[in-house]
Amino acid sequence: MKKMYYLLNHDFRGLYRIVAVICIVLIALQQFLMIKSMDYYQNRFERYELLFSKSGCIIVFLVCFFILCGLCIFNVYSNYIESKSIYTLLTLPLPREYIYFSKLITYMVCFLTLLASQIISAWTGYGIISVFISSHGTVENIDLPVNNGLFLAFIRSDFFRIILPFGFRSFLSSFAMFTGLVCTVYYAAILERSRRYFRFSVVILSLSLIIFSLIHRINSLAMLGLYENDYINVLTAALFLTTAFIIYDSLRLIKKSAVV
Amino acid sequence: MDKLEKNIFLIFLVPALLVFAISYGFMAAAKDNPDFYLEDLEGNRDALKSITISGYLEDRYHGRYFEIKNGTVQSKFIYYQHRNDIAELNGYVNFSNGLRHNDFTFIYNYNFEISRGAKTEERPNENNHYNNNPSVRTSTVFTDSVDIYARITKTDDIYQNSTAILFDPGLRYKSNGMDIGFIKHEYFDSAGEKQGTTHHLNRETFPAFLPRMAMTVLNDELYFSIICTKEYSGRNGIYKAVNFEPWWQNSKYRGTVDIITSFDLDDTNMEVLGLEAVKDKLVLLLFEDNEFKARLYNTEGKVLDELAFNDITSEEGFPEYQGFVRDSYLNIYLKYANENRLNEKVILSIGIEGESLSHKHKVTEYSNQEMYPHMIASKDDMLYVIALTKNIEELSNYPSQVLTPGHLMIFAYKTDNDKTFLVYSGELVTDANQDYYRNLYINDMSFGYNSYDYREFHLIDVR
Repeated sequence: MKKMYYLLNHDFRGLYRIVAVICIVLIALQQFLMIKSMDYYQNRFERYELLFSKSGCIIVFLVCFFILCGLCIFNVYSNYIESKSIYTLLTLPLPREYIYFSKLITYMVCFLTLLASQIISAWTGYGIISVFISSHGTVENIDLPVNNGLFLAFIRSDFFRIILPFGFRSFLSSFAMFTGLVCTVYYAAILERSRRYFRFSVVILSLSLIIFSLIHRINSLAMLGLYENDYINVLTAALFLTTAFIIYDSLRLIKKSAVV
Repeated sequence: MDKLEKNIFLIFLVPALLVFAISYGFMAAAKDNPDFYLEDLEGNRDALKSITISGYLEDRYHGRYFEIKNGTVQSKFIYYQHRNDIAELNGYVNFSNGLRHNDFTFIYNYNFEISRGAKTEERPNENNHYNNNPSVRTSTVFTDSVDIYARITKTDDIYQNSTAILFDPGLRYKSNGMDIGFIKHEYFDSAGEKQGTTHHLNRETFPAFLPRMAMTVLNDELYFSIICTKEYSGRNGIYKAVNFEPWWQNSKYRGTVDIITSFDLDDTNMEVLGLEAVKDKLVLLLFEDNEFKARLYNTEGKVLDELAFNDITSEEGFPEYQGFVRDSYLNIYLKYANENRLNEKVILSIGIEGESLSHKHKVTEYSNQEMYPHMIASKDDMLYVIALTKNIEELSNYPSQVLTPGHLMIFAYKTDNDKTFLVYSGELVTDANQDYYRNLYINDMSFGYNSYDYREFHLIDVR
């Protein structure tokens, strides 16, 4: 276990500075956008979750998210191309699963840190906007900021419902999407390195399941919902199964030294 | 510094997990932290002791089920994960133009046709080609007589099976002048041969109240009557929808309708207002010679009893009607659109025992507040009204009535010696009104409106 812990820290050391910068940029940029959007008078009466999306904060998150995806892919390749540290690791007297899982867990923690930063940003933004509204008297007989506004934002925003789901089924679905995405990104890099191009169909399948889950999660509460109630359970189960296969196949490829 | 680097993984992981843990802790605490209490405005809350009021306050993301038992409010948070979780969608049965029963939705509509043999006058339109399409020639046909056909569509919950009834009740509207316009479309092929002609009523030219339909379900069968004013002639009645046929059926009149009873509108001065099923009987609500009446029928169309209210008339206009059936009581809300009686609201309660009707409660309220009853229930000598009210002052700050917050009011009336008087009024105060703040000072409604984005009271019940 000590070896595993050492490996985790070793892998994370190569990434944490950039992850920290991405998270700080995310928080700072979102606060800036929200404060700017308050210049428009009518936004002072807007719900926090709508203000958050209208001001462009979700786009900022998505940009940071894809930068992080790119960072993880770059990290895999740099081990093979730049530092060639992977060959050193492969010669160490420790199970090869450790190498795979240490990288996988490292990437997961990177994404988890980004999601946590997003939540911190939401808290901070709500605090700043509450102070702003309280200090700028608005209208008689109107209580602002609204009661329980941040909770309502977490419950009502399709974006926050995916990051911070409050129901068991939704939680499982988000967890499946999150783990599925990280495993798939890493798996795609392993497949490319081991030249198993046909198995990219599994990557496409996994990404499709994630996209379908996202569509379902966003549309499931639409009034013209076209999806049956249990579709999400099927999608979540399919995503878990695909992720299990991806982990199994990744381990197989690493153990067979197929990765070059 | 070296120690930090050696444990950098935990330094990032632990705070990230803590953020999630704290957020979930916050949400778990906040879910039961809304404003949600009963505020007494008049009288004593003891008036609510013998009943339980229940319902949901919900938007499409979450709901709060509540019960007011012995005057105490209890409520529970519900997180919605799918649209099927929304309580209203699973329980609501009355729509503005239909109803839902046993997983089927019945929607009514009317077809309007120029009466056979009626005088007509065709006038060309300014642009006589519909959408500049040379194969469609358009004009307007004016007439003074229109026949009205009732159409009911029956669809299942997933809109896969749709069947219909198209029925001719013999109802007609005759105007004094040639002022009812029909838009006529004539279709031609490329050789200039006429392929067909259609006529559609231009509703803006129709000089009277357009008919509506009263629908009710008794023993899983749909009964209906046509809501129309005294300007209409021909026949009306109580009908039973027996058989629905697929919409593509190639026949003029689809489906089968049984006539339970029929009235000649030319011989009587009758205006039908509503039809309700109470126990195993039908109650027809109507104005006859301007006087409001409730008439009890069995399913064979035999009149069993009648109750007349000579102080409720249609002389100054036809009122809006809403009915609530609880046990063996039919509770009625009437509201006039007439300018002189705009503030007048009448609440009636009629008891049905065996084959007779009895007058239980009657309240006439005068208030400038808009009132939308959610439930009216009678119990012994008490009458309970749960209604959403909207203040005129608040209405002026918002772009429209639907986008203005309301107040859920609870009224309890007592009837003693044939007099009904208010014994309690209170408001269920919530923070749901704050959902409407975003509409303050907005005049442009072109972006649309989804009522499920706002917390609203649904499925209010009194037991």
